[in-house]
Amino acid sequence: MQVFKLFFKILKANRILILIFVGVYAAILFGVIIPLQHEGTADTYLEQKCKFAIMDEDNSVLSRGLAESLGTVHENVEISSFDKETLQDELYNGNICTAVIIKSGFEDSFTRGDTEDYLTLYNVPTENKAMLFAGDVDEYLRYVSGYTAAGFSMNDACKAAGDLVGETADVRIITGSDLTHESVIQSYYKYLGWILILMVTSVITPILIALNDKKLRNRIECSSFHFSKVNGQILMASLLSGIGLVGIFTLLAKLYFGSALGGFRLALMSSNMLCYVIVALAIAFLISRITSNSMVINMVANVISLGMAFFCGIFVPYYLLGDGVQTVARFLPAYWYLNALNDIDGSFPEALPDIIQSFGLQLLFAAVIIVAAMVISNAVRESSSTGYSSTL
Amino acid sequence: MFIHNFKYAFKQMIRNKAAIIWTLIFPLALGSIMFLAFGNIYDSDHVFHTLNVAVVRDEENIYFEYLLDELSTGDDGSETLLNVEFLDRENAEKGTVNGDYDAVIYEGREITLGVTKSDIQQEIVRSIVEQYNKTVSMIGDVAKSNPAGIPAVISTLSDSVRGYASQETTTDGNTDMYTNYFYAIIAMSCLFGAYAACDFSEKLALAASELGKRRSIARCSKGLQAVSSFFAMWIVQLAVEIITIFYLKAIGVNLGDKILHMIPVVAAGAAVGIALGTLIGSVPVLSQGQKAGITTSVSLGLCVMADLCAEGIKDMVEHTVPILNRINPAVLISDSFYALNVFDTYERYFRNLILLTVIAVVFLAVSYIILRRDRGASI
Repeated sequence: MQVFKLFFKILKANRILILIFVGVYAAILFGVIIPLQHEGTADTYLEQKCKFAIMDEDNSVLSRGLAESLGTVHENVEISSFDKETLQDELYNGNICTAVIIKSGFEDSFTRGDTEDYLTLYNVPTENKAMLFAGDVDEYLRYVSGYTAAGFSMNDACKAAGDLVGETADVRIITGSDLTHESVIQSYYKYLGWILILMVTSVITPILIALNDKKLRNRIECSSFHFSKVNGQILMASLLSGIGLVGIFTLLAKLYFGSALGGFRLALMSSNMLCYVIVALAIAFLISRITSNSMVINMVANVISLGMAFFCGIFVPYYLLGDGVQTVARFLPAYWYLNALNDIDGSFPEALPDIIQSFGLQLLFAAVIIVAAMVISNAVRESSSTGYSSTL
Repeated sequence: MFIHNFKYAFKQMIRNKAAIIWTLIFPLALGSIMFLAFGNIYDSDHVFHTLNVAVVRDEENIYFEYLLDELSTGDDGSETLLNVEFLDRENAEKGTVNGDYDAVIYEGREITLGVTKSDIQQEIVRSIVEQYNKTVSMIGDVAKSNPAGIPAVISTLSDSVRGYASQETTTDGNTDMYTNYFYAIIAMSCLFGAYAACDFSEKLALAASELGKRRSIARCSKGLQAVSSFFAMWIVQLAVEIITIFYLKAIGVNLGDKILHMIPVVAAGAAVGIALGTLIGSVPVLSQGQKAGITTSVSLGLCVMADLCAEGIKDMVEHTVPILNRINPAVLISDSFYALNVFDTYERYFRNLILLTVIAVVFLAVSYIILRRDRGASI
């Protein structure tokens, strides 16, 4: 077990690095990404509310009625200021979809039939949400206008229009539709699809490079130790460290989510993670056969992990990606990791065969990557023995 | 002496072909992948496009059909609100499940709606249906309280199809929030200059390498060696960033019209990246692997805060601990691009630029102090 022990000796020497990685990524996951996720329900229609901010300089019956009515249908939020820069920031970051500014004299202008100079909506007019909100502003004022034309006082008209705005249409969910929303637990595992590749390649690749060192390799080859035994022990040690990593992130998940995550679901989530870690180990093996430059290792690890994250829907919801991208994503292991994750979280136990298929495909990807790495490794060895060295 | 050191540091940089290639591949590959993945998401998901609606006529309602006709007829070929198709229930629902229609409207005395998801498109259709139902309800109200007022109500409702409010924008620039991802990738590429700098800095540190020992006894101050290496790396990194910006622009990423104004930002960003690497590399107690790990963690952490992997993180920090955004170089780079792209003024752009320069100088100053204090007592 010499090589096996050596693997863990090097891993132990890198324990500070591993702690840094786990600490930083756990902080990113639990401190930044998870708090941004929203839990959704699956079986009812969720009203889409627009966030808006309102500045009412008129403070009339009509302006107050408008603000109240909009607050019923949408979400009124406070913003620090109504200057152009703040409005632009809040609109761009999606904190509001519209800023409403009601100028003094609005109610009088409404009675005269000319409100445009007194009511301004700051938004991006071409956006869906801005259109919806502007439609609701017009709707309320149209009702008030109708009621006042019918002889209601402004007070009564505003009240009647407000009551009307509160009425909702009957919306039913069509059978066969997929209204599932991503859970926070799913988001946690989803982002691990990015982090695991990065972590495994950053930590394991240098160890594999060290074990592939020419002098060390020559010493092992001239010993009584068989070549297959060496590879077998490296494989075992890599797998064991992968299982350890799965254990760490499963433990963190269990500590954070508590009883919400457990039983067979947890076992399947962890199995899925293990399959993906095996893919990550295969990628680490491939990188170790391509280069020994630490800068290049980090660059390649980032290109692969971030590239798959963008392509397979880790950072942006998958359904938003174009058809072409969705087709290409099927040829990447992260897609099958996320696919299994969706099935475990959304349609278990009916989807168990699909989940197993996704596990199998991930392992198949790992096998293909390992074969590719061995081919490259042989080519590099042959070229170096004939005097040519790899450019990378 | 500066020129001499600079020349050799520069030669060393450009001879490390693998490093140069990957430094360039990183932003170009990720920029291309991102552009393919969600280059058009904003337009398809946030910008309004005609909604496809299937109508199931359970009972004929001529008033509602008149409304549908109005909403699906555009002026002079302009985009209409709805594209309506009358179908039987089975085909309408099947088509909606398949994604051919945004919603199903069930026409009758009261209008109801069928959807497959809760999204903004469905909400707009719901709003149309609700407005019709509410208008009917309002006429009913008036009929009860003041029947004589009905003609006036109908006349007012017909007159008031126009908007009551004026709509204004805060910018003529790019409002696509997904562009933030591209800004973050450029920021990340700048900060990844830290890898090369970390390596160079290690070669200056007395205890870290043989070259460091030789350099320590050379008749050239460490400060001069550090500064000359810094400029050599900075030039290479800056070239990479300029290529990245022009490449992203060429493939169609909307980076705005002020491309030349972006160059000072990446120049300052690259300086911060290299200064960060110099700082990490100069810490004597860390091994090479630990330095690489810290470089990765720090640069990734900073870029995550600049919305690299999820929207809204930068904004969340801005509303809770804004000072963090003022000292995070990735956020400063990304925010400078944003400010250039949407504002007419340069106040924020220059503020970010100054902050980036200050951060680079502070990192370099601290690295210099660490390198100077290294007297080799531990050897």
